[in-house]
Amino acid sequence: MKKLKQKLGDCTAYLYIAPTAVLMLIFIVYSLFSSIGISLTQWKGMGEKTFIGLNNYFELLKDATFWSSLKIQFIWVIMSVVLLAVGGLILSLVVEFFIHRKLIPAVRTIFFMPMMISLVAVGILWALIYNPMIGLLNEVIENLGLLKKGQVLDLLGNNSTALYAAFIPAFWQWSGFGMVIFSAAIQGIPNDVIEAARVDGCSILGRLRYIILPLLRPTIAMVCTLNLIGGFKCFDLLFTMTKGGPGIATQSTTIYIYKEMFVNGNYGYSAAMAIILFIVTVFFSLFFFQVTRRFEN
Amino acid sequence: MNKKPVPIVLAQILFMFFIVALIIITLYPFCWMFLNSFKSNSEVFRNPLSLPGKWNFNIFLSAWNTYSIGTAFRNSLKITVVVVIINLFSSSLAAFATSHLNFKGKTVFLSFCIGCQVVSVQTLLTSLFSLLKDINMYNTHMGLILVLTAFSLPMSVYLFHGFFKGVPKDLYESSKIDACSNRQYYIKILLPLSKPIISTVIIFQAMNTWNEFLMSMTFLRNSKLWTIPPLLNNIFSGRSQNYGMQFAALSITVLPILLLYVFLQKYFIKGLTAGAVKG
Repeated sequence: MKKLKQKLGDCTAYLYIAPTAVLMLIFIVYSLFSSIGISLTQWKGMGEKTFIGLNNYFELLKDATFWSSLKIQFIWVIMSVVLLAVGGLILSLVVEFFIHRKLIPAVRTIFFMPMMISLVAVGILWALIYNPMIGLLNEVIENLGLLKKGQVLDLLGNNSTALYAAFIPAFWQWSGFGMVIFSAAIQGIPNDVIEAARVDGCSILGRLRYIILPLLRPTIAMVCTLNLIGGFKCFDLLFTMTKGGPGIATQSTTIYIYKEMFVNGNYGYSAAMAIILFIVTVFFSLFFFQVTRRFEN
Repeated sequence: MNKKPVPIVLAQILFMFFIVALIIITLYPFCWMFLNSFKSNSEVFRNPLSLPGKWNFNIFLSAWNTYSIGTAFRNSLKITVVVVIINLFSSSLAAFATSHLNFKGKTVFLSFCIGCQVVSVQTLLTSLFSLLKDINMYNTHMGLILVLTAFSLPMSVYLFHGFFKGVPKDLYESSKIDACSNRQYYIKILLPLSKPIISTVIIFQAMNTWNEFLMSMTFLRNSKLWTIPPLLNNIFSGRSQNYGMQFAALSITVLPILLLYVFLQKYFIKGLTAGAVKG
């Protein structure tokens, strides 16, 4: 018994981690393997699962809709990585450097407010804003005189603009997130460093470029990585706003996975797609992480 | 005294406009949503931008009843509270072990907790569906609670572990000298010290569970079991052009959280950015 205790360490620890470990093992680890298993079958959601080997994967390689969905997913990820970080950075710089000290908490509260509502609510609200008949956007543009009478702007109904229009609410909501993280990082920069630069005659833009931004690099890298992972998971916003439409113009892989499962009843095919997306996500996350790590040094 | 050159004053004024514009863009969607809830449907069509002519409060009651918003609120509350409680209990115990005790497999377990955060819901949607059906928990609240809890555990363990590691080791050592058991140390010393991280984890997990959409929609077939996100999605998915009711439903579901936010901003901001903010 003593040898066992020496080998395993404090055995009571296993009791402490038991509830967590059990739940995670069943619903995450086992599920992952089960998902791979289902991807090798044809299944309609009930009844028998028919083993068909790698057929689903071969079908996916030939599926134009799948490739289109991947392209859309990647565009969304790139927008998430770049734009959300830029938005957060701008907001945090504005709050930390250009607002009167006493007003900072109020302004920060305002910019963070969009984070309080669910992605579903954001999606619905902005779909209403974009609505060509009653939407806020149309009214504003009409009042600015940019539209002729009878003309409407239907950004979400237009194949070429839908995806980018759909990203704006994400930008509206998640810039607040980046703002808080960057603000915390900026507050960590010792004041003397910035003061020294100012005394040396460095302009505002100069201080920004040569002192603040380089010091923020690790934080920028982390925010971008978080947004990368989040971008591959996106579903709620796009689904509630456009359901993948018009046509399949905004049908990301995440939405296609859902549709194949619930609308078309091809559970095996859907699982195969999900596994591929997972592998792609892990690959790019690791790749991005390595690139930013090297960039920092 | 040096007078500031005109270009700089100009830049400052433009900048102020820029900031005010940002604030308006951030807040106006909320205002627009609330104002439009009061309008009758025809008014919404005629002038979306104006203030409501008649303040129609009845529409809120109407939306509440028509869409069974009360039921969804109750469901969301029940699921969120249960998930958060199980989560707190489970993850804090596990993090106590990983931060204070030594055991084989500790690093593996911790790595799992970090790695599992990358796994998305989609990857496991079909297999979870199959699993829940096999254990007869599909289309039940309990099934959803188990799945949501499992997914929320990795992050909580990570957060608690980080905090517990920061607690001075001598506290634990001296408690052991005083013949204090692990359990007593955990309950009487560690937990009281952990109030900040507990509130952070509560807010983080409560918000994530309350707003969770994909799993709630997929695993709850019966509309009476729906939480708020699937309900909202359903309201909006219909072909109905009754925009007044839709605005009202949105407002009702958004308002409680916003009110909480106004009073507890600091906690929400800390809670929602947990794990990402350094220090």
